[in-house]
Amino acid sequence: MIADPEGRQILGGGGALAVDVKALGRELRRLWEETSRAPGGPVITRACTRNLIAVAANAAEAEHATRLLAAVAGLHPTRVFVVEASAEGDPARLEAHLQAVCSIRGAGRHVCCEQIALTVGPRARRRAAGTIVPLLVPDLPVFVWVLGTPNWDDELLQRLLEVADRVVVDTRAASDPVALLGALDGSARDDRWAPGDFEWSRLAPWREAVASLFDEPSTAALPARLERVVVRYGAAGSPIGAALLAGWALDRIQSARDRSETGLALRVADGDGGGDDAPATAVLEAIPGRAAGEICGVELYARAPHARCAVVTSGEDAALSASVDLQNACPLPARHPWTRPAEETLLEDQLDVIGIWPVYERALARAATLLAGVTPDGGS
Amino acid sequence: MSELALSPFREGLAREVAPPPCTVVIFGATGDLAHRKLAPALYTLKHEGMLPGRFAIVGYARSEYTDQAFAGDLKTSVTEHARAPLEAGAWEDFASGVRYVTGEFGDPAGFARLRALLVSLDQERGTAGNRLFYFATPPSFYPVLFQNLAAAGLLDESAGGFARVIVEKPFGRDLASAQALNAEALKVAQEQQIFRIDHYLGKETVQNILVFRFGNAIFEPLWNHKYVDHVQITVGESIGVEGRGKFYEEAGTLRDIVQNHLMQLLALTAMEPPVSFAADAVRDEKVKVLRAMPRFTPREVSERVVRGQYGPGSVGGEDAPGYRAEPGVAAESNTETFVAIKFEIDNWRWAGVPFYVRAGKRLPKRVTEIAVQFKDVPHAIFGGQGERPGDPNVLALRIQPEEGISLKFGAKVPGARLTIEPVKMDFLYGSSFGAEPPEAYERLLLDAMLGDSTLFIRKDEVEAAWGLVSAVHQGWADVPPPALPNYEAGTWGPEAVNALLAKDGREWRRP
Repeated sequence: MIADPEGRQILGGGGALAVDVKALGRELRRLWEETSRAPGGPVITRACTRNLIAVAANAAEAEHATRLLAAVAGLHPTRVFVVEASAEGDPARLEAHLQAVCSIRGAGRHVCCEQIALTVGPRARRRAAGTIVPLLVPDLPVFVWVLGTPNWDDELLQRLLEVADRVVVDTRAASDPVALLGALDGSARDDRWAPGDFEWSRLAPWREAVASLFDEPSTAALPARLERVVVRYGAAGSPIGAALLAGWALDRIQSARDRSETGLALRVADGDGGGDDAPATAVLEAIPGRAAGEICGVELYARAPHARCAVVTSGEDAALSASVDLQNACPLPARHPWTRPAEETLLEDQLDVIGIWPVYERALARAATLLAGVTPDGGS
Repeated sequence: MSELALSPFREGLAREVAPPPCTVVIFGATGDLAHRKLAPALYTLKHEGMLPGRFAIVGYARSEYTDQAFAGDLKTSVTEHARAPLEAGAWEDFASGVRYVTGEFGDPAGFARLRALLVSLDQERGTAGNRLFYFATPPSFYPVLFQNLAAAGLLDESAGGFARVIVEKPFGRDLASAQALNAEALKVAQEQQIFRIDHYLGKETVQNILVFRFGNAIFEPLWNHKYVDHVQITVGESIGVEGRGKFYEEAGTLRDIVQNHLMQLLALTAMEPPVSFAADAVRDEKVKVLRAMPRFTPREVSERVVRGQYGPGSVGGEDAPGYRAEPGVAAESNTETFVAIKFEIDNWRWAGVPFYVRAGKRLPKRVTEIAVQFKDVPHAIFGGQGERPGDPNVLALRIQPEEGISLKFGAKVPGARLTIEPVKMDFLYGSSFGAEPPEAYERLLLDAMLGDSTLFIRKDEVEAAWGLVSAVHQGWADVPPPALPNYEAGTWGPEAVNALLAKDGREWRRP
């Protein structure tokens, strides 16, 4: 066993071994058997909690996926396939490399991932699927992570989607983000596989800051009273993030109203207990001069009682500032540390969810509806 | 936990419930606990975004300090002990809410100054009148702290803010003192305001006992007298008293470990399924277990309890002094550093199943585990080839170190002969979950801020546990102690401990 530059232990002699595709299963077994017999090495307990198939359209994407996976390898023991489904090179080629990487952090703490890299020519797609599917660890969830824009017509991807529990994409990286969002929504509605989107994970600090507005007793009943949501984002970028955030807020407001009707919600301290039955509305505002597609502010309004809730970026000190303008509520803004999440963090966030993510799927449905009226230059 | 209202905006977030704005007041703020555990835990919560946006910490102790000097000390503690790295932004945010009050624990004037500071912090930092008081002082100060907090109006919740008190163990030193302290506390506070801490309950692996038992369908049907032969619970430490000789002379293993940590592990292992994961539902079931354990008569103490004290020896390849040679320990001390007890639980589920527990210092290794040993198969069909009575199925829940679960079962050895050998199937937390688990104090402080008392000890629970332990102390008081020291440092306790199981035809497992 040797260590890579980051200190992770590479099993099986170090480096990715080129292996006969037909013998991949046997080679995987051999790798672990040899490791368990290695004299003087740490005792490795083999564990696996999920399967992950990263589908890349070229070598650069495959390399990018491998780098991100290495960064999160210490968190989840996973059987990983990195598939470079390239249109270049020998159309019939199907090559495989194999390695296992362990992050060892002292007695009893090591997480190992098996990584199988496959290079697949255009005419080897079906064979590639036939290689991958039997090697998936039974009874464990299958994540399919598609880098770039998914080619839904690709035979390999189609076969993988048949066994996928969850499909993760990054709408921000897609050539047509709105179309991809619509496809994700369609899959969720059809209950084919659970969709996931890095863009949703990018919104986590915003969702946390918005939620914090309603944590205090003085504001806890406000959500059911909210009527209007405004989300501002950097123009010249994808409106997907803004739409997901607005869709989420609308869905949460509706959830609060539903609870209020069943008597579960608290009453607003100075509210009249009544309310407008009209659905809450959302506005997406594209702001010139801000980072493309990045959220720069969220406002939520209520009329009875009159309230304005806001979360805005505070650029100088990398924080989100959350404040509520409501009688009897604390007027002091609360600060939430904020940095733009790294891609490893986004991937980790997506891998933390096994199966469907109901709140996301409801936000997705509302975002798709909101974006149905968006003009190509943003704004709604 | 499910008692807490879930905001619709929090559904699906990493934090499904969030603590409201509050001030944490630490009494004994310059002490070891505050610096090694509390400040690092609070900073880590801040670093991970788990603290409320409006938050303050107030230290209260006798030593003269300024706010800045106290914050400087906390920074050192955080640097040395926090799970999260010290980062400028998070630290500055944290430190901006640090204050200090100099005062005696029995001085009403000090509490008046504290009250004035807390009121001003509500205005200045928006802490909304919510206060969490942490008693990180010697237990002898608990009554006067309760009295002075009440006299200063700081336990009054009528204005809407919460006033909660976390009390460190030991909560009393026997049943009578625990009852007296409870009575004193309940004169000035409601039970739901009092959070009696046992940091063992904050450990992820301890909480996982409940998940393992009640979140999986396959184990619970076997978890009873029909299939379980006996249970062994071990809380072993390889270290000695580590400079706490004076404390240990007063406590001993029975008070220091058995009354709290060990009783909690036993109750979690033996309890019936609660109707929900709500605080009182879980604690009701734990109390039922403790109440189903009969208090020993003096005769039963002599038959079922073994006490020991370590003499010089060797642990982990290094020479270790005997207990009586430790600083602060009397030369003729009879304080126990090891206890083993055979408990029984008189209820439908566990009738006839002994629970053997042992705890001690200077044992060969640091280990905490619960081992459930199952009964032999009812009929040996393989003609005795490899089916040995000494190889029963054992399910071991390891709390520390190498947290995990192992199952021992028999498997056929490959070959023409039918030979059965025991094999062990291991699940290690560290190999399945790469993320670092939170420290126990992080979890417990956060729960107290949230008002979730599931992982804290209720009045009746602490008194039930003391009732069992005090009966043992009474039994010991009636007879002269054994010749001590009676086990060598680095061994698994005195010889008599083996006899405790041998007379039942059983033996201790080697953890």
